[in-house]
Amino acid sequence: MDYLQFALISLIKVVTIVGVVLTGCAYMTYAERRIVALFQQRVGPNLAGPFGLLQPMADAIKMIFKEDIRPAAAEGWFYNLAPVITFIPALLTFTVIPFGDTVTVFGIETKLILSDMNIGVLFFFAVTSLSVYGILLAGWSSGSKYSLMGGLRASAQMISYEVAYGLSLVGVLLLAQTLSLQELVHQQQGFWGMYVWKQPIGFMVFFICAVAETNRSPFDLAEAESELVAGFHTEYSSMRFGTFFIGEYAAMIGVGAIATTIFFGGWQSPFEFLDFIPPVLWFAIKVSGFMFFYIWMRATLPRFRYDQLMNFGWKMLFPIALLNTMLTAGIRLWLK
Amino acid sequence: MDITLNPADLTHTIAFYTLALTSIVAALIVVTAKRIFRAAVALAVVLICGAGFYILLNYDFIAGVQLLVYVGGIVILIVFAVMLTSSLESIEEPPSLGRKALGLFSSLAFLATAVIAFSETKFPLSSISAEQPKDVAKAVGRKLLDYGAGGYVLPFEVISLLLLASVIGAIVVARNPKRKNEGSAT
Amino acid sequence: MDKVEIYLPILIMVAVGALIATVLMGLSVLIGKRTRSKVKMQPYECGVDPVGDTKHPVPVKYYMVAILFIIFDIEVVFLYPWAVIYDSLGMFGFLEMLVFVAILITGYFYILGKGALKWD
Repeated sequence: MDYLQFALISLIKVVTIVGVVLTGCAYMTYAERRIVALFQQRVGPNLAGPFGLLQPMADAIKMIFKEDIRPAAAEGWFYNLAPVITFIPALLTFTVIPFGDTVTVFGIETKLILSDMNIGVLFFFAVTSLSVYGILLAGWSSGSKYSLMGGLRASAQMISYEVAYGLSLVGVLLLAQTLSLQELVHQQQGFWGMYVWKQPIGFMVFFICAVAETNRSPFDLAEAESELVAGFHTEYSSMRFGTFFIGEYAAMIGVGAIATTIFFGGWQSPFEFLDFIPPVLWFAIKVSGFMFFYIWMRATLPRFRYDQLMNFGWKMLFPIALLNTMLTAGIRLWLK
Repeated sequence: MDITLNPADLTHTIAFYTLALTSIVAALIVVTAKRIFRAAVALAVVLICGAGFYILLNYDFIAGVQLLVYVGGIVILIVFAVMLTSSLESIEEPPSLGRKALGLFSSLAFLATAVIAFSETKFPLSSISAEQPKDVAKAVGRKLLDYGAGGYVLPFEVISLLLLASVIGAIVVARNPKRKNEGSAT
Repeated sequence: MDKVEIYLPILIMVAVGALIATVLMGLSVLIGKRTRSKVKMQPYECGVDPVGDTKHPVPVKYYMVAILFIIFDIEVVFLYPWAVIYDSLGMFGFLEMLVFVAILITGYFYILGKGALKWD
């Protein structure tokens, strides 16, 4: 395959994935509002279109028409750059996620994964660690106290949970002996082959850290409105704020996709009698499950206090993840 | 020295020079920027370019580690450290003439040392590129942990001691009980 | 494996992401209505005139957290290559990592003992 053709195919894949992710983000906001409303015995947005399904479009249009304010104290260049820098790592996660096996479209054989690298897991963590920059930049460049504090808090929170985040996967790596995500999916055959059954503690630590990494409730201290107004994006308005917002939701979907791939068998069908459902759809169903869980948590759990958050990360999750790693290694050795 | 840089491979050459140019420009920004946060961001760019070089050398695992530890960790630490001592807004004061002279002397000395060291050393790059490992993560693991196949087990264990020493050092340096309550509002 | 095949899609993704973010933000810059006033350009402080500025040193805690993060992050990075070849290392590999982790755990308890992770 020559480079030009490959580049073209990759571009098509990238645009498709970005399109699906952005639509997912839009409908995630809709689903979130409807489901949280259900939890609280309200109706939620139901006026724009049938069942309010056009609400995300209405929101987007509204946001575009809002006034774009750039505070005088803002640090021009970096202020503009921060939303872009938050947006890109969120999308980069999707480059290493397998959505299916090899398929043939119009006579061209192509992999349903953008970049089939053999260090997929590490790449995911590297990209996650880069997402701190957008938040720190936004907090610093806004020239507002709330932004700075929010940015600081969020970055300290993110780096604190990153350690346990990375550790929680070592258990799976010990069993899988690979860093390639596609291979991880291939290893998880059938319902009981999913790594979540072999690594339940690892999964729980992973998911809790993932929620903290994406700054979602109950770990949304960066934007604790009662004390920090809106945290690092206090000074952002109109679509600049919208870009942060999309970035946050894209990161959530990315985390759901990674969790699905590593712990829930990715695009594989868990039961043989359901094999007729195409892999991509299986993948979407599993990710949607995670998205629902995110919303469920938001509707149920109160926000942490900052010291509780730090203690929980360093004194609970980190030791548990480390213990899980060594325990897995020990059992693996003993069983052999 | 350009053995790994296959001249026939145009993409490789273009990528190399793009990365090299970017990292040089960013490095210049690091040392010339008046505002420390700008310097930190430029430093992140330099380090990302470093990861790019590792990728060009086929060591993707090391590139990932570079991003994870250096870009996602060390630079953040530097930013926090700067914020701790003064604030991100701080603009460096121009140094005195004596310090300038001292700085010039030490940087020239470092340059001379580096140039001598680079020109004196023979880099056995050809042998590395000849036997490219397929899975770099596994190759790195073998080198570090397998005592049979020429692994570096003792240095690996010493790393943990080094990290322990830095933990203790960090605590001793950073924890000054007298200034405990400073800025507790954050 | 071909490097282009792995990293070109990533570059394309970065480009597309940057483009979309820029276009989205550019749209509201172009379309959004504008009324400028001096007060509006001030930093947000709940409607009151801003007090002081952002030039305050931050607590040492944040720095401590960053240091701890780097140290344990490096530990995790060493665990990855260990994990992917664990099966072939056997007992020796387990003991090796046990020593490595035990030394770092000493540091962890030292930190806890010194109260560096106390947020009050």
